Amino acid sequence: MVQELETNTILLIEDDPGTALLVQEKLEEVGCHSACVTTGKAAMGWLAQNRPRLVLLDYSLPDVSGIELVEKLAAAPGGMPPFIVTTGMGDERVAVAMMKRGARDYLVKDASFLDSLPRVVEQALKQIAVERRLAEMEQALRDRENRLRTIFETSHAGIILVNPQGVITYANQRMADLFGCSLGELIGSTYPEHVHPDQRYAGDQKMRQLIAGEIDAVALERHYIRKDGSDFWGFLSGRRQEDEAGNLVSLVGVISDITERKLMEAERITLLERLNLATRAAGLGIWDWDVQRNELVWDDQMYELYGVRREDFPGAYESWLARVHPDDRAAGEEVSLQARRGETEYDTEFRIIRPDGAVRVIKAYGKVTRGESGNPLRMTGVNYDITEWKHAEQVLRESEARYRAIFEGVQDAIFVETPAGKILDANQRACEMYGYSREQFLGMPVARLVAPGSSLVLPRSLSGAGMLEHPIETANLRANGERFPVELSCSVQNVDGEPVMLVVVRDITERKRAEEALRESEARLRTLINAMPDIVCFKDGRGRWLEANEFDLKLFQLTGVDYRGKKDSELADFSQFYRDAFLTCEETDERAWQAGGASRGEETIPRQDGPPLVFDVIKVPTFTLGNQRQGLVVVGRDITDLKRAEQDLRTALVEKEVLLRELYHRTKNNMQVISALLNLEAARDENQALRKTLLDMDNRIRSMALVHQKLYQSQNLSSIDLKDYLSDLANLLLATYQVDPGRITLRLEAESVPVLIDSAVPCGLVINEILSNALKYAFPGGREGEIKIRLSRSAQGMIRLEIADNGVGVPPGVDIRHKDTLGVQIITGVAGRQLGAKVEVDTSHGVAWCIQFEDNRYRPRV
Amino acid sequence: MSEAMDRPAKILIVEDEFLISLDLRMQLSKMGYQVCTLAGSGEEAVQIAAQETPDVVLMDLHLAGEIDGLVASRQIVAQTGAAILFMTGYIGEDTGRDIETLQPLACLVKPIRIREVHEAISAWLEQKVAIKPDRSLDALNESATS
Repeated sequence: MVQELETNTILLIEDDPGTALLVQEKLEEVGCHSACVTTGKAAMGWLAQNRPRLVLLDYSLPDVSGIELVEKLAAAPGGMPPFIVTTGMGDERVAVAMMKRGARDYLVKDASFLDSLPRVVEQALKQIAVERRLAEMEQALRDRENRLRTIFETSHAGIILVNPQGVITYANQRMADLFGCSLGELIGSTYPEHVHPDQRYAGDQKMRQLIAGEIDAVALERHYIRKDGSDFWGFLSGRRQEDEAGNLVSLVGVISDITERKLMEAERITLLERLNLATRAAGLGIWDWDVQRNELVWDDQMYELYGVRREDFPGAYESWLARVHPDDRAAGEEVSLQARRGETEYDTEFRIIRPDGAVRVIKAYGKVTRGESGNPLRMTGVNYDITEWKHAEQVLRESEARYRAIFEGVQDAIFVETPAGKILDANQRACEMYGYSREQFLGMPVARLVAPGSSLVLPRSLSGAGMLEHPIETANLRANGERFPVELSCSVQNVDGEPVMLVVVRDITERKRAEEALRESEARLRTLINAMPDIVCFKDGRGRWLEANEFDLKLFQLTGVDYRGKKDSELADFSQFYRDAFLTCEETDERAWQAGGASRGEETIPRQDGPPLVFDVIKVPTFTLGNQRQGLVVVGRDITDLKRAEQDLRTALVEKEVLLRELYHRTKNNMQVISALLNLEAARDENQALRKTLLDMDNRIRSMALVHQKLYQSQNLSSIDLKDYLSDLANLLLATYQVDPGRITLRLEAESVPVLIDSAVPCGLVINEILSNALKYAFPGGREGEIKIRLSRSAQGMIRLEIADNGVGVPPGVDIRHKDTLGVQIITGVAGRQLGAKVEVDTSHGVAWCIQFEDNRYRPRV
Repeated sequence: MSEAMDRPAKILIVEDEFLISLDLRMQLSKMGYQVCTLAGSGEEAVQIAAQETPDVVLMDLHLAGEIDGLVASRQIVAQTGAAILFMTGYIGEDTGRDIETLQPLACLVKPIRIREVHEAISAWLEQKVAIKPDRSLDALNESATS
């Protein structure tokens, strides 16, 4: 806190105001601003808030001695700022004591006090400034040193400093590891003793030049020896470290272990040597071609290579060419020609076809011998079979191509990264996915691909520990800033001894979208199902509940119960009241399973707070392809109200039926009352004509009353059987007219014909009229005869009624249809007009009426 | 309309109960009305009205057949301008309003009395004369006396 308040001010601690004023004026003259306090306590307070460049401390203060104050301030957080002590005359001893406690200088308040003040102060200030600059430099140096030390100590290469005498003065831990000894052993040893004896002087030349300053740096492959006697190859890069005058201070050496590489090189050399030996021993063919004379001479090995017998080989250039694979001939000739022209070495490969058909790859090498004018005289060279090599190379190339194809061809982006997350390589798919070119990717920190809020995945250690065992889902950024979901897996691989990170990224935008869409549609479906005032429940193949809607849960008091995965019998424990209902449900489920298809039934579900409810329950089982039980959908609708309404309706209907029957009954009774009245009237009257009229009226009323009687006796209350009616009415009339059944025979041939009430009454009136006429007029004077009644109905619905008597008939020339009697008017008018019937009458033998009508003029009313 | 005054009013009876229509015809004829051919259905009524141009149609609202009394009345009014006098077994709420659009002389509930028919027709004739100020006094007198 104190440092923050550092100022240019000089603090004056002086208890004498006069002196203070003079000192301040003097300081002002030399451009120094000052502040003044008069006591030690005030000084402490001021210094707690401010940091002066310099303090002028009066040794003798009223509250505290100078020594005490300095000691207190030195212990305070900011420490004692630089100070100069002022003392009174004769206090020089005190001044010395203060100098020991860090005072820069002292001033005695004598006559020259004010004059010498500026010089002393300025000198102190200058000294302070220099000290400060030095301190800053030291700090910077320390920082740099720290940085370098960090680099040295964490470097993968060994680093040493060697003084001009060859003694190692500094080394990092890696260096000690390389040399197989401790740091203590390494430092102080000489550099040459670590160099392998076979090389101890090999690099001397270069090193001497480096030490002499003729060159600045060396880069050498050196063979070193470890403490335990084993050896290793190191790549040394050495550099001079000079002082400001350009004198050598030390040599800086950076050594990295290249043993692996050297070993591989050595391996390669030996391999080649071995191969040469082998080919030489097994089949290096030598050829010699006299270009001028076109004579080609082969040694035995050549014949072996080409599989040709000496006697079969003509020994010319063309005979060789003939053995070359047709596809390689042009190129082969070209190389040969170029060699003869001196444009290239004769160093080529071509395929040959042996007589047995085998194709071999031949490596050929040759030299051209030229004449004085430079014209080619002859070519001499070797051939050897490299088929197996080529094959191996081919396999390698194919394998590489395959990996490359996989690398490029996969749907996933693949990155090769350093363990620190810097991109080393990226495949084509990565470019497409992120919108960067491969060049842009190279060297890019992978963090740039990570979307804000998503975590960057980097290995915690190079062994791969802490890496993802399973792919994770996270979000990445494309070049255009678009955020997209990815599935990411990564692993640490050791490639050529270097740990690299392989990151495989899959764009799962589509998958996410599909998942989202699925979730949405599921949510919609669930909302829908929950909104339904019906039971909806899904169960699995073993009857365990998967999903039920709110209505279902509420109905069975399962709200808040973790019902999923439980069977009805298990859920019974949660809802004691519905125990039986659950157990019954399991039974009906089983029946649905066994039925194998949708089943439907009514289920009565009791309630604690009201009458039981009736549900129309549909159960639909589903089966797997293997016909195993897969799931069961249960849907139930509350049909309690429906059932009640149905019941009410049924009751109402029964009531109405009773009422209607009663109505018909009363109508019939009323008509009987009318009939009785007419009879009473007729009996009182002496007038025969009137009595006859009243009797006719009585019959007509009774014919109508009979319709109502038949109606209330009928099943459906809306139609009667015309056959029954005919039979009853005929018997009624026979009785009325007191006909002797032996005299007039009634023959009824009828089939059952239902007619509606609206047709039945007019029909009854007509039949009554015809039958009455026949009974009254056809058989006068006790004649015997017969009345035939026929009733039938055609397939088309036409009702045919025939009533024929074999009585006296009508006198010739009389058209019965035009008689102006009410009876005939009823027959022709009511039948013809009201029923829409076709009315025919045949009077050739007696009277025969034929009435045909369709019962379609009225519609059923019930 | 003055011609109507020169002869008895001509009435078309539309009734599907044949015997009732016979009765009505007899009674109206006795009172001096001219009665058209009896119509037993809506279709017949429309046909007969076109041929015989009645002054008044005594129409049963509930007729058997394809068209009921209301529909038949509309057609007859549109074609001939005849006045309508309805007969019905009962007046349903729905038919009530429909009937009014045809401005019938009356709507009589069965069983009807022939007197009511006569009174309705007489009142109609008087009203017709009253709203025709240009009618001759003779015609007026004649209608009043008949």
